[in-house]
Amino acid sequence: MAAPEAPFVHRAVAARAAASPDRIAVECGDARLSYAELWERAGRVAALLRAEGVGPDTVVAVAMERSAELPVALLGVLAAGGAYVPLDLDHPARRREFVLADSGARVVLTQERFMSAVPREAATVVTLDGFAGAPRPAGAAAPPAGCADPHPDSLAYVIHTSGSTGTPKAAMNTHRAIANRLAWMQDAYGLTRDDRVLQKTPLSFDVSVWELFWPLMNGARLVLARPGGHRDPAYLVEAVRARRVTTLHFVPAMLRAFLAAPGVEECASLRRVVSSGEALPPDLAERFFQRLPGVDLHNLYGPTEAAVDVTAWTCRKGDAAVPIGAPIANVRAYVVDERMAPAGPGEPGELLVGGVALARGYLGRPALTAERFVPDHLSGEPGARLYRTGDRARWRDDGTLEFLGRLDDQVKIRGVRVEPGEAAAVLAGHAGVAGATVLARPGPGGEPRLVAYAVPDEETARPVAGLLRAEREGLPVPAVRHDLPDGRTVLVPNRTEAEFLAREVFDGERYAELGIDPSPGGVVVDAGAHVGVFALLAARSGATVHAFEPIPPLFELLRRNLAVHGVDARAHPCALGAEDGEATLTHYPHLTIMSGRHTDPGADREVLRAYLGDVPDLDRLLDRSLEERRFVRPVRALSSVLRESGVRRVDLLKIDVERSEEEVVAGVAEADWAMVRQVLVEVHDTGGRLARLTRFFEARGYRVRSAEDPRLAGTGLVMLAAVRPDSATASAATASAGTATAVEPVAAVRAEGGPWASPALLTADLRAHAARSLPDALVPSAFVLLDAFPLTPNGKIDRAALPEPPSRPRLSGIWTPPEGPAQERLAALWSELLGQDKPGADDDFFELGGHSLLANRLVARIRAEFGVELPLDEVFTARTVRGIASAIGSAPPAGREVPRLVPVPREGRLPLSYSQERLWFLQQLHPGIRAYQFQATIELTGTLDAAALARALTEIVRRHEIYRTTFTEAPGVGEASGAAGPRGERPGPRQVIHPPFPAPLAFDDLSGGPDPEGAARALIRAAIAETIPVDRLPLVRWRLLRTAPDRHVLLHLEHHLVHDGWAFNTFVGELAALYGAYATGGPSPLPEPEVQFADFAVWQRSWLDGAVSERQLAYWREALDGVPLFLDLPTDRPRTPERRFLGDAPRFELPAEVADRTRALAAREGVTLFTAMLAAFEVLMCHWSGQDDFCVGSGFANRRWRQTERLLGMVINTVPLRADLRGDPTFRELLARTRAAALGAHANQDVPYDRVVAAMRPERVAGRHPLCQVSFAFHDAPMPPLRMPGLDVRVTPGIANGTAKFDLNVIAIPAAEQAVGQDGPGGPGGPGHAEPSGAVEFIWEYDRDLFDARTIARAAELYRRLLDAVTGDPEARVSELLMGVP
Amino acid sequence: MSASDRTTFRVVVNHEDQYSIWPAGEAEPPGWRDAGKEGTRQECLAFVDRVWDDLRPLSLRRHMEASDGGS
Repeated sequence: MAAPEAPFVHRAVAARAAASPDRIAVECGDARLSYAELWERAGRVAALLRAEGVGPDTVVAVAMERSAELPVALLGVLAAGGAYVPLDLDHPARRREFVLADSGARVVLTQERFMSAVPREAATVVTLDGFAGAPRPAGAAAPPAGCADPHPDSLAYVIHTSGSTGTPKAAMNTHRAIANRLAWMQDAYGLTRDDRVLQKTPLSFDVSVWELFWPLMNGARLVLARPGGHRDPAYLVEAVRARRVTTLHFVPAMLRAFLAAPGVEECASLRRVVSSGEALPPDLAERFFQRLPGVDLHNLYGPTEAAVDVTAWTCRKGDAAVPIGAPIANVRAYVVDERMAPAGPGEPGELLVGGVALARGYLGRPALTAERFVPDHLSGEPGARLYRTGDRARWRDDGTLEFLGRLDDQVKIRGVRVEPGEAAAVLAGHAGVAGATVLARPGPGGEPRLVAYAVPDEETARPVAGLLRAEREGLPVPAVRHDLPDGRTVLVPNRTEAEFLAREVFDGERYAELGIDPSPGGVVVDAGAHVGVFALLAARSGATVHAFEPIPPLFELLRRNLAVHGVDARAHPCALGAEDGEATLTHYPHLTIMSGRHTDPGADREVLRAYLGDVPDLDRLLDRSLEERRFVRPVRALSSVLRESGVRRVDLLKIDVERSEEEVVAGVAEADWAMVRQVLVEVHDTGGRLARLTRFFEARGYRVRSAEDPRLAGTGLVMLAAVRPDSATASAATASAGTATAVEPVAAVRAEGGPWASPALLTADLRAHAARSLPDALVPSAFVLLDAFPLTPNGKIDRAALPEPPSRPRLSGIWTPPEGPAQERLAALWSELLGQDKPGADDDFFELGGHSLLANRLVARIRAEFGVELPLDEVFTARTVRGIASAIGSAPPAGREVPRLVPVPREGRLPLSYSQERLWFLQQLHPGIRAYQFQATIELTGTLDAAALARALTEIVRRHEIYRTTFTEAPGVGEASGAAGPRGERPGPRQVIHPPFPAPLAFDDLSGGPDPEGAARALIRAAIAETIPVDRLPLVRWRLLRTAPDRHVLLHLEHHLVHDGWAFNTFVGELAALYGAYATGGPSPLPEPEVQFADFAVWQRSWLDGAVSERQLAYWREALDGVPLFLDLPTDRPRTPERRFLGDAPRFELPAEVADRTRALAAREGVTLFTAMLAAFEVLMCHWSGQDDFCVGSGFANRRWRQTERLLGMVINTVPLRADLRGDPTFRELLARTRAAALGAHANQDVPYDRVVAAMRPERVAGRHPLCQVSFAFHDAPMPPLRMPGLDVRVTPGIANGTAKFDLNVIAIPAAEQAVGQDGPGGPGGPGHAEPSGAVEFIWEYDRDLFDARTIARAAELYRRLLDAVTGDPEARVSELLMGVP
Repeated sequence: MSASDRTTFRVVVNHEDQYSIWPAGEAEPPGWRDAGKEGTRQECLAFVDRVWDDLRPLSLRRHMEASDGGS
């Protein structure tokens, strides 16, 4: 099809008006306009607009609701030569103001009733009320005077779209483009004069353009839906039927609602439905063909920046996927990769479109236009442009395009780039759901995770849909969901009672013992139905149930539960008694199962007392449980009800009515007993009631049995069963059937009532379905079932309105309780570590938020709890509660080797920890060095309560002995002078603990000075240049600087003897907690520390002197066997014998893009980010030094024991990681070697570094560290949330103080990995916002006596390039990765 | 900095006086010529914002000026 020659919509309408003037063009409510009337009125509007100066490329705003005047107005604008811009009356006023101002429209067409909604700044407002109905002047079918046609490239309409940037932008569409689009549509679908097109789409959505003009250009009828009608499926069904509509449009979400509306199959006039705006799920297309056989379904695609649609597809029954089809006439489409080169067949890429359909650009936005409309380098047409849609698509084998979602929707999940739309499409294909969408949202730790939202199918998952609807409609009483043993979910007043009730009702053995069939089919009468738990069991064989429940709150739940599960039941809101009448009933809201007509608070109390047994505070509990409400309710005699209902046979009469049982029985007429086959009564056996009832039933020919529930022993409650011997056949089967019924698991219900009887089952099945069909990263980690999707005014899913998933993700879908004590104890440990209540047996540690540090802590907890040494690897491979519990069973015992960490007496000499001791000796050898001092600033913006801050610091000093400890060789306090102390150790350093003291908080108010910030910097520089002596207090110092009334900096200085990175984060957390409490007048919220640092030091020596140490040393001897003791990096200056420990610590940022690729590589290769980054670092060291075998040191937190988690002080240990690059491995192979080294180091990290070094018998060389001259470490200890009331808190740890600990010490600070427990980025803004900043900051601390700053900068740059290279090609060999040396 | 931010671009313009940007290292697509600005994406787009003051294609502009002149 060639592009139309005279491309003007209004010309085509004029031609129709001339050809068939009397034909009906427009129908709206009762109003009708013929083609002649339409054109005449449009002409008058055009003349009016021309008089206002409207002409080509002039924009006229239209603020009108659907009415017969609407097409008149729009045609009038076009006929005047102008273009229209819609002001959507459903949009907020501010948006309309923006649109009007942005469009530059000087004229607004509206209706009287919207005058107040029209922004009137600098615009002429014209009302068109009554225009359509005005009498037709004679001979007015001529074209409006003075209307020369505009140029085909003039504007026809302008529509604002909301971009990801937030500011709406206006796409300018031309006459040529829309005329081509409408000509194509006529060519493709062939509208006839008999067709009627329903216009229901708001003008701000470009679908409205074809809805309005296509019928009018082709002599068909335009039917306008009533205002607001587009949101109402029932109205739309009615409109289609009443107005014999043949053609209409839906976005998929609305199409789904339309297809579900009653009567849709009677829309006999329908010929075609067009869908666009969102991806059309295949299951929806299938449903369409089921509901509307013989109607065509077209799936169209197009951005607002092209005239409506640019590709089209006609759906076919049975298609597994719904593509968006091929480009329409005179449109080109390309799929390109990131470099704008065409993607291969089947390869996803960005969809670009070109041809006559393109918009001119964005009104008043040249830069944005230049960015999105790019040179067409693919078609060969000189000077042509392509529009970058921002959509992902791929070419299918059949030459059509498949839509894959928005490019900005892509999100990284555990390092893998994924498209949530793919997961949504798979879920939507599940038979139990009617629709699904998937969003990336920040998870509990802040990292993005996929959350699936699904709407259950009304038919296949009816119980779930019913339950969600009942919950949405609101329940008259507090209620919660409870899953019955058979998998069905019911609404219950509270879970405890429900569990009790379900256990009782689903106790198959009891029915067997009583010889009763609880599900006999036929008719079941349930007296005292409560919320219907028994009725559900009874109805299993298809019985009709008459359920009686007089207590209104319970009756409401009963009614809903029976409806949700489709039970054939009649719920009677009355009590049963001896005769018809009224009674007062007592309801215990907290104890609903004991509510009833003859409650007896005194007796009920005794029943409860007997049942509950020895419970603390029993009386208060009983008082609360027996709070009561009273209702006056009708009472009926059972026989009257049965007579009215026409019941001729009762297969089971169940009575559970709290002391009214004899009255219910009395309400059965003597003659009626003959038709009652079985009776089951809960008897309150007081005053000989059981004996009386037994006699009563025996006298009427029943065989009677009774049984006391062992759970209710002592309560006087007895079950009585009366069965007619003549129903022996039924009864014979009963014993086994009864048992089978009750213990039948979920599978039975699946077979009977469809597989998705409860939300838990549906969720489990959805998850399994996703796991079968999708790669790991695309399997959503949370599933939320919704009654219906929230929709935007245009009918698309309103993502911002989707709820957050519940805080506890149920990852294995259905919750399988932990089995046995080992799993239960392990589940308890998990819930503590992960902050989740009750993990299930099959939940995955890592999917619940676990990561390697938490895995380490889990191993520590397991050691303490189970006394076994579980290898860390096992956590990674076993993953689930079930799996790890089983691994624990076969793990070697640890209990004998590691004693408990407990407080020790403070008398006598207190040793240093191993790491402290090493540092202390170093400090003695090099007095005055500041390399082992740590400094941080904590910036506090807002109103500071300095007194509360000082109090918080003082409290921390009191809480933690290590902050009031000094280190000395002289005899400690309370120790006799002499060579050996009471414990007889060799001479050496010891810890001396001093009594608590008020924390010295020096305060400098700099806010009055000319340059407070500069003064603060100078003060900080001076403070960190001081040396902290280790033999006198304090080893931790604080200084508070005020630079403005609302700006303070807390400078924190401490010696490494009382510090490590983990401890500092703990300190910050405690500071925030204490400040928050003191500033608001509360007490300290922190529990007393169980143990202190000195206890740790004693404990560490007590067990590391033994077998563990030997075993770990044996590991190190073997791991490090033959490794060269030095890594000889070429230095810029010769080494001096005396190290000065002077250095610098520049920071370099690894760009997010490279960091994220490294994360993805690590995820693919199953290694941690640390391992991947270390391996690349080793490659750099290898190239730089020319060595292929060496050690890199790394600080390991060494906090694997639970009691060390909250300890301040130096616990960190250095471990030597062997870099083995021998034999020129590929990078992938190197990753495996590095991973093994790291895991081995983790498992053997307790033995002190000094001992490892000693075991290697190194020759000491002056000025050089033995074994590890270069260090590579991660600062990823968990950072607690830093909330302090009224303050913004910003912590900068590790400020450089001009020193260096190693030749080269590289520290990575991966903020994303560190932010455990902090708020995630973004809100419910949806995907894209959820991506954390992936950049990783590196500190390159180096010895400036050895290296120049330039050398280190080059090394950092080479490191970045190495990571870039290895992530692109992990198969490259180390030698191939050489890209120069620093 | 993302990859695209590091790339150098050039401002290009076609026969209709429509502007766009194009990677500096690559030859202009047919029908497009160098508009005399090279730099980062942002720099190039800022340039476009300054120079492209009429988004109408050149042929339309000429047509409209001619009709205005003629009336």
